[in-house]
Amino acid sequence: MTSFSQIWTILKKDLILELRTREMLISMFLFVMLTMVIFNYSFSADRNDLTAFGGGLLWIAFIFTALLGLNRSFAHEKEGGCLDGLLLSPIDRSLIYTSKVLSNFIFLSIIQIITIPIFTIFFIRYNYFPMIVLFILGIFLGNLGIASIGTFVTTLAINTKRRDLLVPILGLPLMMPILWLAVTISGNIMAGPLGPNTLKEVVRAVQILALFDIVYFVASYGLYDFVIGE
Amino acid sequence: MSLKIGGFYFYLVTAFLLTVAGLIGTFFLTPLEVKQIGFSQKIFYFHVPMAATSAVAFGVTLLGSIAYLMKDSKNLYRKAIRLTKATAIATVIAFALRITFNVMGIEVLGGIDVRLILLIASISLITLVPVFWFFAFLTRENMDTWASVGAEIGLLFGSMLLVMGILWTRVTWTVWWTWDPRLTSYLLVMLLYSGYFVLRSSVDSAHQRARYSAALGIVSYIAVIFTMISTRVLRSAHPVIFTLSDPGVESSMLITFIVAMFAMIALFGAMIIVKVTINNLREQIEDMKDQLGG
Repeated sequence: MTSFSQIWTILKKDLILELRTREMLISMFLFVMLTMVIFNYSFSADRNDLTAFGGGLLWIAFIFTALLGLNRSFAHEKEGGCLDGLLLSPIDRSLIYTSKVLSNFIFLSIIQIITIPIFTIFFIRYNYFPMIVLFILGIFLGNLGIASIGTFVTTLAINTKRRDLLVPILGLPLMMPILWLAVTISGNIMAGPLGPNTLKEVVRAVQILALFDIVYFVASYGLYDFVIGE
Repeated sequence: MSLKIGGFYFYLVTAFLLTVAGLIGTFFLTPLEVKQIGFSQKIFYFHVPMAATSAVAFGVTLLGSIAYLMKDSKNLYRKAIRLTKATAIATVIAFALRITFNVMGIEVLGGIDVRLILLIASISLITLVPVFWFFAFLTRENMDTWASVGAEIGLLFGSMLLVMGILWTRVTWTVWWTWDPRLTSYLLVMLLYSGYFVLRSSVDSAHQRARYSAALGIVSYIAVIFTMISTRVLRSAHPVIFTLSDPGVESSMLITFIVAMFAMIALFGAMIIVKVTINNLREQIEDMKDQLGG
């Protein structure tokens, strides 16, 4: 088997499992919806118009959903003894990492495809459709970064005593640069027409975000051997 | 078995003398900065060296972690090949992105030359990692101890730095705290390295603990590097003194700064020696207890 077919096999397993139970997607979706209801009550001063904070609120919802999903995705593996099976199989461990990143990335993206339009209808009063390509690029790069570092940290935490505690404690500071840049991108695009200076800032944020994705992915890919398994 | 603290007193005395010299320089020999912030500029002589020393301390964590994993690794060769491949692919992607942006006429990262950073990083890794590795082999020192002690002292310097910085911010910007990129990212570094110790305390087996925390120690350094470049890459109000082309200060200021820099590094040397010795002795006690059966 080539590397690609190995990655695809593990990825397919995750996708089939999710299609059968739909456990993660439904809980992540409900979580995002509930967060939006909370936003409505927390910021009720200016009714239903959160255009100015749109990017920040969007990513608050996504980052916690991502943590929820990441915890779930490895709890499955641990409970069923699947992780041991994966470790016993003659597959390079970095490939396990790659496929896990891909599956987490796909789940997060599915949630976003459903919830971003809803969020926009609920809270945003500006039509940002003309900038949709840049917007999607920002979301895409943000997801990739969260999935890369999140998968690494979750694997690190899964074999320790404080499994559920460590994922946010270690994950959030590491994800924060990604979150920050992603909020810069989404927030500026959602908040209103982009002036030349804001556009420059957004483009720069896209560049740094891409750099972060690469660095995080390469570092985690290289170190994954050491954090998986006993 | 004796308590060997090689070089401890040397570093301690050096640190003391240089700190006194640095303080004299700070308050009596350097001119008052009159253009922008006045007397509060004096923080620069110890604030910046402290920040640099905390970065060095976290760097010890990084190198100790790398050395530990290199020693620990069973099939190092295969992993090295794979990591090299991944880095090569990443570099190609980075260059492709750069060329694309250049062709599109978009300025890359505010004029900062990424190639320069990559070059410095790779040279320092290439030269320092073998040094640490051989050191680990020769002294049979447990590099995990060095890594954890580095993070501990880094946190200590970081806390002093934050307290100092907060006082300065109150005087100069009239608020205690602003969410400036430099301040925010440094706070994150502190939280991250505190999490490093939470991780260490949640693993029982010593070997496993060392391996996990080494992996985290390497990844965490990315956040430290981000803090270093944050003022130059993002919009920030934090002062930037040194640039590549311009030393930015007068010579008496520069000399005082360098003296303070050496003082802090010497202090760090003294601290790390005594702390590593303590940890080694603690391990020996544990071993003896095990041998006695209980």
